[in-house]
Amino acid sequence: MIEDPLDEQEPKDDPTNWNGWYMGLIAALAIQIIVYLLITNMYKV
Amino acid sequence: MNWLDWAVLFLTLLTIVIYGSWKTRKNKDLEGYLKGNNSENWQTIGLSIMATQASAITFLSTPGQAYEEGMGFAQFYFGLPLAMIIISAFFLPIYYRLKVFTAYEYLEQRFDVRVRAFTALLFLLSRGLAAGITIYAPSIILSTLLGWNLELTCVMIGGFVIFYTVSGGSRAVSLTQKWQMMIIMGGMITAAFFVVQSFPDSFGFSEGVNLAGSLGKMEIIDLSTDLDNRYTLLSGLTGGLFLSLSYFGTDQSQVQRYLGGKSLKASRIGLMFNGLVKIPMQIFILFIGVMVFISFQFNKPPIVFNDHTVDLSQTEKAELDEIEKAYDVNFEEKRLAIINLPEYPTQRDYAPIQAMQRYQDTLRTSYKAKLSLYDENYEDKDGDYIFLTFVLNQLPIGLIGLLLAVIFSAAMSSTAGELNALASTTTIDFYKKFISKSDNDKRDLNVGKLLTVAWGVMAIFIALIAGLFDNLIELVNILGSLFYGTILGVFLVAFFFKWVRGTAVFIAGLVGQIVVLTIHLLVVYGEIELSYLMYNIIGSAVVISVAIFLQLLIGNKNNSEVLDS
Repeated sequence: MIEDPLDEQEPKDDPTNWNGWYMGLIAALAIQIIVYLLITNMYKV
Repeated sequence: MNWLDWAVLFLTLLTIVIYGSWKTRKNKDLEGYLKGNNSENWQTIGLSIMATQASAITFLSTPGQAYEEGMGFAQFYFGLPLAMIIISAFFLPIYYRLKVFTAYEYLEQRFDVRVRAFTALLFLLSRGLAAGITIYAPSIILSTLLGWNLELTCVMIGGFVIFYTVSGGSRAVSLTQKWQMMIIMGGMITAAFFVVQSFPDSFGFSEGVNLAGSLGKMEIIDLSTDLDNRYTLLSGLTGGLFLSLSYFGTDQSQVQRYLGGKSLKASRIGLMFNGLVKIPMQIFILFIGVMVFISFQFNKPPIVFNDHTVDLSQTEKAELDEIEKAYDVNFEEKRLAIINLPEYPTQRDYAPIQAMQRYQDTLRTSYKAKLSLYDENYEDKDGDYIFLTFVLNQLPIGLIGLLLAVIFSAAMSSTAGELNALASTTTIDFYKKFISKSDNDKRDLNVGKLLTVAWGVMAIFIALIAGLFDNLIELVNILGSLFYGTILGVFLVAFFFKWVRGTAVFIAGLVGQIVVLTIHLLVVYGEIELSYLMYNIIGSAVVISVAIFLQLLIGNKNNSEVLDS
């Protein structure tokens, strides 16, 4: 049986809140899409 | 070209190459050579990830794309930040924990050696050919517009890259990419400033943006769900996500960039940086293209941006002259109409300009159609030549050299990433796996260097013969998509379906590849219509579903054999 690396635990020495980073990146993407959508509507021919 | 431009071009390139080689000259073993002894900070990782992806053709094509079709191409990158999150959360911790040199090495630990060799081979096949085109594509444009010798340009770009990639390995690639990316961004910001400067005094930046909007160039988002539209919000968030996931998560030329990080955290922040900056960067480059379009409303652009390659007869010339005459008259009328726009123009004021722009586009199309008829070698897609034509005609002396340095830097940075990855995969996944399993630092390092030279020479050779094949560039562009889906499918099974084993995924990989190739043949012969971006989704879906099905079948068979015995 091959030991699956996913079964191993995350390293404990990194206290960074990565979920916060990921949510932040998703929020940045959402804000950009909204801004680009506003620009598109503003200049719609 | 002025001597100052030559000086700026060569000083910029030589400084980066010499700096990269000098800083990284002390490689003692294979780990240092291929992974840079895990010493890179997040800034270097982030910039080198961006530099590997952004080839010269990105900076030549993207403004041209916006010039012709507006800014909708930006949607292609909307899936990228999501891919960065998935890679950071699931792929990266595993690569780090297993201390792998290549992404494919992990597949042997997870499945078996067949799956590792299969995916590594698919990578070498597609990326090996692509490295040649990364050199050839900008060389053909530079040689056409500047009259440079094509072969010499290819050899020069390839030679520079081989020099520092062989001497400094992965660390030299990342370090030089960081500086190359800074030159690229500095050059593009300077270009943007001069594009707006080229407008007439009475016509400001905001008038330019309004005019661009009235001519349909400012439409960034397309909310339609029509699959025939190549760039929509939906295709960007789905097809773009799969493409980014395959490219950044499983293509060794990218994996090698973030595996060189000094910590998991540094690599993750590097990926987050790419996810945050990439879309605005693309928007900015596209916007430069839109502003070039506005500049060409006042400074008459050539009717086509690339010339024919054969002598034309008198009749042919006369026919083309007639179209060109109509083009000139229309351009002048349009220019005057724009200059005489009221201070606060309405849609009604823009209407005649829109009609004249449509007529200009029609004249351009019919001119290109005639040229294609007279000259079978004529490339009727001239979008890649637009930005460089602007640079050569409108930018001041010295800045032309800087912008050429931008194009060379982009060509060199992506080629270096590719050569480095090709050499790593050949060394780790084939040489060290099948030929020489024992460790000998000096010999392994020399083999790694020798393979970098070999792939570099191969890339130059492909670049030199690329012109002999009509559709080679197109073929290489879709070649990535032909294999990416299968490779991604194998990796997704590895990460998310823990109970699926090697035999099932190996057969599924073969089936997935056959299905994608069959679909591609049907597309080529006109039986079905499908964007090649969809190959990634289809390939991955087939591999995942077949692997699950086979594992259930094999698993059940094994269970019943156990019960029988």
